[in-house]
Amino acid sequence: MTNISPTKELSINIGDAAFPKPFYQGLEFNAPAHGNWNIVHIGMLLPEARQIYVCADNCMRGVVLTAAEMNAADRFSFVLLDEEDMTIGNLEEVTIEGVSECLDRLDKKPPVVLLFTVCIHHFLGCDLDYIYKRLGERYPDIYFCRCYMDPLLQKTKPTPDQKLRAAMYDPIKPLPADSHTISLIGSELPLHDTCDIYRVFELTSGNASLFRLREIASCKSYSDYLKMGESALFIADFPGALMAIERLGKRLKRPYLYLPMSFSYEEIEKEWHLLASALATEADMSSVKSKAELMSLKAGLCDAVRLEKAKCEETLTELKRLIGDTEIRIDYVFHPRPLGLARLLTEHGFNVSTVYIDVISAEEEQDFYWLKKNALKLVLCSTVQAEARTHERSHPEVLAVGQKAAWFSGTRHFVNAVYGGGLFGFDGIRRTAGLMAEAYNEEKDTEDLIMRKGWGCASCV
Amino acid sequence: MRIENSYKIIPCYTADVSGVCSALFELGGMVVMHDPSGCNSTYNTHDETRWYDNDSLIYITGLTEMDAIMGNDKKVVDDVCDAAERLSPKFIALCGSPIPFINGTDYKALAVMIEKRTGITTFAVETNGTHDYVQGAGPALLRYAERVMKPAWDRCFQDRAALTHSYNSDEQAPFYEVSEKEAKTASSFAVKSAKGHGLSVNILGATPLDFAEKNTLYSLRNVLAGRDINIISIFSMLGGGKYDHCRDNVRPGGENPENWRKIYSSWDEENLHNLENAVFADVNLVISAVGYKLARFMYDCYGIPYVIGLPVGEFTDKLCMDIKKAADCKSGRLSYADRNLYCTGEPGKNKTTDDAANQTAAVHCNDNSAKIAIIGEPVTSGSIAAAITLKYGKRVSVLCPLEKCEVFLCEGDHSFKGEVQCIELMKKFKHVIADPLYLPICPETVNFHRLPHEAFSGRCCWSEMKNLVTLFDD
Repeated sequence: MTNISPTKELSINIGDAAFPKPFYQGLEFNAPAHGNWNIVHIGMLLPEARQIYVCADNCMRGVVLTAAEMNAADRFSFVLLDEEDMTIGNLEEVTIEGVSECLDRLDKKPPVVLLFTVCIHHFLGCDLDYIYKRLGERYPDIYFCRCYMDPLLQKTKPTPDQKLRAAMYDPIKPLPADSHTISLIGSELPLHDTCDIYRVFELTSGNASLFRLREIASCKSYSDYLKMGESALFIADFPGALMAIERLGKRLKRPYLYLPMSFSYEEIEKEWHLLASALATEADMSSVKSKAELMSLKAGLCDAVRLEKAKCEETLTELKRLIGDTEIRIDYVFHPRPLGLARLLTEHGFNVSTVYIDVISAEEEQDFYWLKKNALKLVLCSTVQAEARTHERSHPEVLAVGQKAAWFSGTRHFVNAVYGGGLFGFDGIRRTAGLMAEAYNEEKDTEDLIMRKGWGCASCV
Repeated sequence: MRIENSYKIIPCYTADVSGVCSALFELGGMVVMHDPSGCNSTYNTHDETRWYDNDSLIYITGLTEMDAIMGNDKKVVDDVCDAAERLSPKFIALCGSPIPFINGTDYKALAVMIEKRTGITTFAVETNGTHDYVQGAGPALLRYAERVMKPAWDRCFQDRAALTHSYNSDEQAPFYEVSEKEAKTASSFAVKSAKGHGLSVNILGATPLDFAEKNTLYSLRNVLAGRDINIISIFSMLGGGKYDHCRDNVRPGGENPENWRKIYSSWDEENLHNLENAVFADVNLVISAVGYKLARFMYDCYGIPYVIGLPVGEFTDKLCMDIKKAADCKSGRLSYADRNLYCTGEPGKNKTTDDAANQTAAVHCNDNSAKIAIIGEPVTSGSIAAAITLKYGKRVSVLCPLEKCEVFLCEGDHSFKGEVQCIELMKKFKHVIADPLYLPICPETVNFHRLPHEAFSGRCCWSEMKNLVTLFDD
């Protein structure tokens, strides 16, 4: 295969695109679509936790106002660093004393603090172990989660949100395992109660209500959240949660499964088998395959999957009948598998013209090469290249899937959701189609919706 | 450990980097923040009301760990030059954040390199993300003036000197009869000044960070025009009320996005031309601390006096008289500096101030000690304080949270840093006027009055944003 280099152009035909980075990373633009969750939104999922940041004014502004906009300013404190704090060499003391000052001024101490150190701490070689040790000694009743707001490292190392998702589950201690309790790790949005997981519960046990699915997004209190420690199995469906689930599973010595959100029938079917097998036995994963085969026969899994696929086909056919050849544009914020969605829709005859994406996930490599071969007119468009600012945005006829696709198209017909919106499996495919039909039929106030941070969170804006 | 650096609940002000971007947003250039990816989101989400539709070229370099450690400035230069060649900005401005500050990035050198390669005027604004927006926006306007405007101003200034001399005749046509083409030339301004047909001012220090409400500059224009004071240019919100600063359903040109973009682009050439004529102004009116450095520069280079203050309520007449006096005497002043003199403390007795130009009758104050405080940017707050004193006879103190603003404060005003100092100061007053996000720390004994400030609460209080110029009109 010819070696293709990233382009400096704003958009490129998929046939000419490089994998995994189709675009050269130069000066970056930031589109006014803000529905994606940032570390403040994610951290606030941990009930009763307080977030404390230690950084300069410029970095602080975004996070402190995120908390204010989601009406959570009362769970947010910070220590503002001056020039001298960055040059004198006393950053450890500044951090310890500043955090202590924040905590001492509270009427009631929180059970857990998400403490965010930043790029400056890393760059100056700050002794974080010392900081956490001293704080732990001063406040023995508070659990300090090691969190980071260090975008300086995000292009080569785990991102701040990936590290946060991992750290957020550190306070969980192992409790006696309940074989009917499963926890979903690292997802910001709760799963729909019609999602495939509940179908697999039903098929595995004959009664879905025998199993209990815990999710941090549904926990009402810190004690509720700690009960995730009794889970016999951990699962994750979001790529950003992989680090979290591996860390938690290994620490608690519990089995874990990564079942990524997908638009591929084949992949979803495999996940059904994996989950069913894991539910049936919490034991040795190495023998899953044979056990999965047993399970599918015993539980009628294959028949159920066939039925699910038929329903998906029917839904997609109805959608095609409704929207015809309407131009569709998809972005990476709506779902972690935008190319997977593009492939599914292309396979079913939809007119997908553009995918807004800057870097392609390794999970999408197969979809990328399939589209390269089969969707010859598909264009990949960067959302951050400098020319993205001045690119013309007047295509009101477009059906956009995602907020950035909506803004770049200038359309009022768009699916307003982020990170898959709690959609999973075959049910997720049908719901996506439903959202697209709704977007086709109804206009939305694009500016009002996409400028709100943290889709699904409270917003005072 | 300095406890003023610990914050329990209130936010921090817009930082210097965002101040640079806000000040230069409408001037047709490219602004580049040297910071990791995503950090520009803070600015364009919370501190830039114009971001949705206006195609201003504000970018971030996407600094990475390895580039920071290895000092890979070449990438910055290459990327900026590449973008500039594609987008043709009128100028390029560089500003920076904490990490480049720590590793000693030489922005001035980078600017020289970029300018050499692209032929586009490039300058640096020394920021590091640890200061407030006044420390970014003010120097940004100054650097813009020094590098971009000064050559044109120098030419115009020489023309003005020559033409003022030659047009000093009663037979010259008044300004409003001059043709549109002539109105944009040096001669008309010289004529106007010579004939005394009204005064011309530049407005310095206008950014949405302090004036987010969409009609504020429009009201400012009307209020001054009603007193025969005409605006030549506004540094640096050039649209002056044509477009939304805050979200609402009213847009110029209807709902078609193409119309908005045509309107926004139409102000480019017309209004940038007005900036070139700024040197013909009789007086510079500094309406916020952001405009001060530019005012000093224009005074030092061109002798244009400046008056500091915002026309608000009853203070407007006083301010306009100061503008006229400044034009006559070629010296400026902090127009609200003597606001405490307005209060006599003696029932039924008015006092004429020693300042002969200030003919505003002093008002009787019910109580000589200030029980009212206003927290915020010092020039707008000082002007509002003066308006309150003139209207209600109450003394008002300004509590200023911004750095290096002592020059804008008067007797009885205070600077403070941090939440703890703010709480201690608030306790001394019966009434506090401040952004709503100060409410959680307001002592229970104090009556709190809401006055949103974009540079503090960002988008949180957009729906309550006030037109400061017409604040007391209802």
